[in-house]
Amino acid sequence: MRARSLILVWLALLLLLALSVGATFLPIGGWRHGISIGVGFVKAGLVLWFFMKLRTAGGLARLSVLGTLLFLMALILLVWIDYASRSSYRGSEIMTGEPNTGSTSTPFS
Amino acid sequence: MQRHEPYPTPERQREADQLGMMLFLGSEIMLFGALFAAAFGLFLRHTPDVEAASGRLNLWLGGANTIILLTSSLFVALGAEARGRRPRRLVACFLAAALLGILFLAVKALEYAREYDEGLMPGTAHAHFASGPQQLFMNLYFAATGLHAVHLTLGVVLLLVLALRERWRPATAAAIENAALYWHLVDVIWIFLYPVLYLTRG
Repeated sequence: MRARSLILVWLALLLLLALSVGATFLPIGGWRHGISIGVGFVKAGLVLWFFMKLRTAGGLARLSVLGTLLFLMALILLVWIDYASRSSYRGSEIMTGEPNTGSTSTPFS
Repeated sequence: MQRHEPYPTPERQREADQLGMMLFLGSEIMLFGALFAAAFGLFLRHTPDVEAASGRLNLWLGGANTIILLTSSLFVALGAEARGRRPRRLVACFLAAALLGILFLAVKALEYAREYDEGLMPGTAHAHFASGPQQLFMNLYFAATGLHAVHLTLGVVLLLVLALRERWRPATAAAIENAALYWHLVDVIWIFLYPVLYLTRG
């Protein structure tokens, strides 16, 4: 990849950083957390694709990245399922000692 | 590129080099992944506490460090690009990236010092927290950024060694490409640490 293209990717990364910092000051409730994480994924994608050369990498290297992402998703998803289903679980007051209010604590509230 | 047994072609050899590195980096991602999963769980269960604790961190110093790391990654990419054709540019780029890495660690140390002064460092004498979950968040902050700093320190040593030995005994293409991959991964981890720790403010 030519030097000029790499510098353009770097500029795009800086712009995205400004976007995610800017988003934290917007009065849009919990969604700004979603924006800053989403921008993080875009930035990571740019670094992987251009700096880490996945753009020109073979199928084996791409597959290994995909496999890692799959395991990571399983980890995060199972943590989420655990916390999201806790307070709606019958008898959770016995398990946690907290009264069951029937509502889950959602991240975007 | 020099070919070694048992690979029939240099391309196959490069592919194997790269796959080994990718699997190692995958294990690193899972290591940090556990910390991110912990942060996510803490956030789901104690959203207001996490937002309050995150608000105590210095957004701007963290942001400056993000700029420093992104720029160092650019230099590493430029250096790896110059491999084999322009050795002097490779040395200059890797040295610049290593210096930026040291600058990152200096800013991080400054942050730690400020957090110590503000009583945000768990386990220290005058540490005080508004709630248990806020202390948990700060534990996580120090564990995650500390582990990241260890990785970054290793990366700085790696880049310095590769740059300094280039004059009399140049490293192999695989060593340079894999060191570059490692540095970019440390950058990617910070790309996620920054929003998770600093930008989750209320």
